Amino acid sequence: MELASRDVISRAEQTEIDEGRGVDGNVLLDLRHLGAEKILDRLHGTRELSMVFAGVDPIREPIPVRPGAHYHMGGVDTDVWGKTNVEGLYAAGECACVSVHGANRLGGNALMETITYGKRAGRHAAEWALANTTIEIPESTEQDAERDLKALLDRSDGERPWRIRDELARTMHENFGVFRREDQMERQGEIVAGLRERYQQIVVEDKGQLFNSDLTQALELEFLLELAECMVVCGIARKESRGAHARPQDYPDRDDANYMKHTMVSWENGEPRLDWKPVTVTKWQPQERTY
Amino acid sequence: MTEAALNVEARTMRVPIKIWRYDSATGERALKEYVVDAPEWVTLLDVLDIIKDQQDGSLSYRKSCRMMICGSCGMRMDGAAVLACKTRMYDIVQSGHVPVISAMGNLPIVKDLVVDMQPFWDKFHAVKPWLQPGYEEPPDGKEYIVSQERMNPIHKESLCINCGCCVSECNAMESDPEFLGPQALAKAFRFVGDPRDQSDVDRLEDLNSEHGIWECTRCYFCTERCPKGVDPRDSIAKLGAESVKEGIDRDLGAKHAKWFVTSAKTTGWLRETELVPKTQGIVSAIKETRFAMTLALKGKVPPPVPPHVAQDVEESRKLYDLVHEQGRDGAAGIVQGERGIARMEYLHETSGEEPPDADG
Repeated sequence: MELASRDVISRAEQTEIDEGRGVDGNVLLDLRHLGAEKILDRLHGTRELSMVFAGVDPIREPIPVRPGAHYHMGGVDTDVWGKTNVEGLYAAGECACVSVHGANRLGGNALMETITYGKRAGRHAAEWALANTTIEIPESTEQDAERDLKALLDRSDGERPWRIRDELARTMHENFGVFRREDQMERQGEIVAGLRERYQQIVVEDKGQLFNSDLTQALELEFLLELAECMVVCGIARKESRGAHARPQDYPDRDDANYMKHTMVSWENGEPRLDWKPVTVTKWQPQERTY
Repeated sequence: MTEAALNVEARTMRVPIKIWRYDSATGERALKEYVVDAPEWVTLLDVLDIIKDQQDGSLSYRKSCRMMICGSCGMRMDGAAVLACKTRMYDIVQSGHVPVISAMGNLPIVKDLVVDMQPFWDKFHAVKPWLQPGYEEPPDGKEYIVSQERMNPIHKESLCINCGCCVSECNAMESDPEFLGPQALAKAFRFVGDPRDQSDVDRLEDLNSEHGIWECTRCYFCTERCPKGVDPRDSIAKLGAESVKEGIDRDLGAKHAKWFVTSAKTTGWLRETELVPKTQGIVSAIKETRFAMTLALKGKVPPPVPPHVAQDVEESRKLYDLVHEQGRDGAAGIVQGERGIARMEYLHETSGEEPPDADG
């Protein structure tokens, strides 16, 4: 079980916590059987994190753990060279989705994105940059962005963004976390819409031009809200359980006949537009996952 | 997500903190005090987040991962560099102390706790921090294998997260801003010590130029403040040892270090009176003659002739030969490693109790 994939572990942990067998909202991860030597040798980073953040030395005590958002299987759609559908724009790493991981990325596979696709995207982007000089951006796009930015900075009264951000985080964890239920996802859609409404009246306190992270964090919050809405729409539409998308109550099984396809979503006219892309199966045939 | 967002109940405490605010555009500088109510588990970074969210949105600092891996939140607490995300506040609050937070040293401040990292990256880049294997990639589908044992000597250098805490504290850089500095040099050893890298001699030549390894004053502040246990001073010592081993000894620092070895090998003890001519050359030494005579007259140094030879000098010579035979006259002769440090830390924290064995 300990070496199963992350979604399996997350469900196991969350079930224990939900059914009242947790300890202060956690389950305990016991590494003591590995011995001090091996922990110091191989799990140095894990030990450091445990000691700093939980005040627990895994050589002597079990580590309190619980599911958290570690990685998002989706991202900016790219080809195997990191190219997006915007001319000259490349994506690699956690923000990108080359679609090699499917519905759940296995532990240790971050290297494929950083090393392999990072190198490919970097090389391709450099070649593109050497071969091209400028790309035309419609004047209206630039004007719209400047207008929005000015409106945000000119507002002197309103809600500070942090409460919206914290509420988004808490409710996404509750309603769109390890287990997903139709009614909770529907509810989360309404919550996100309400938060987006509130976002229209936020106030940025830092009006300066210098390292204005108050402004960048506010802009990021808008993206978070839009992404959350996209995720909810996609989650409701996928009526099956696959990888980290688990719907044990209404659609507990994987449904290859209807859903072995990529979920594509784009932001159009202020709302998500859902689309699908077929999966190309070559050498490796999909199989049921067993442990 | 913050734990606050998860609604985990936690006891709170009142955290007072002072922050040096600065604006490089106007040159305005002010020490401001803030007081926040925060859960007992907060780190310095959490406290800054609360201040920025709820009290003063114009406060600027860098952050990203919040778990000691991105290296963004280096700053100073009470004048010493820390990673904000690694610094738990509970004990500080309990002690009644009000910490003063300021930007890192040795780098120009942009705003508040944000420094301009460009000089840092320039030096990082100057040591060519990429592998130069000097051999072709293996044919299709094949890979070269390097054993864990051969990578272990650069394990701790590989832990560097480029946060800049060591550079912030570097005394040598304060007097010579061009000094490559602890981060770049630790990174340099990460490649000099890499068994796959074939450019060691070229790298060492570069590192022996002005503003290179011998500029280090050995104050150990970098080692003291590194939040990841990289121990840059140890890396610099190893680069020095490797340089001398490769015969790159044109710098005074290298000559100085070499004389210690020669002196111990020939007479079994350090002949201080010969240190100056051997290191700085005969002209410099003559200028220092009067000073040396005064020292000799006062009995501070023994007369240079005849040289005193230690009774058991053979032991010292044997030791030298042994180290040489084992090929440990370079970096390998400097025994300090992450595991050793971790073990010492463990013993320290558990007041001398040995770590329990496997299987209980």
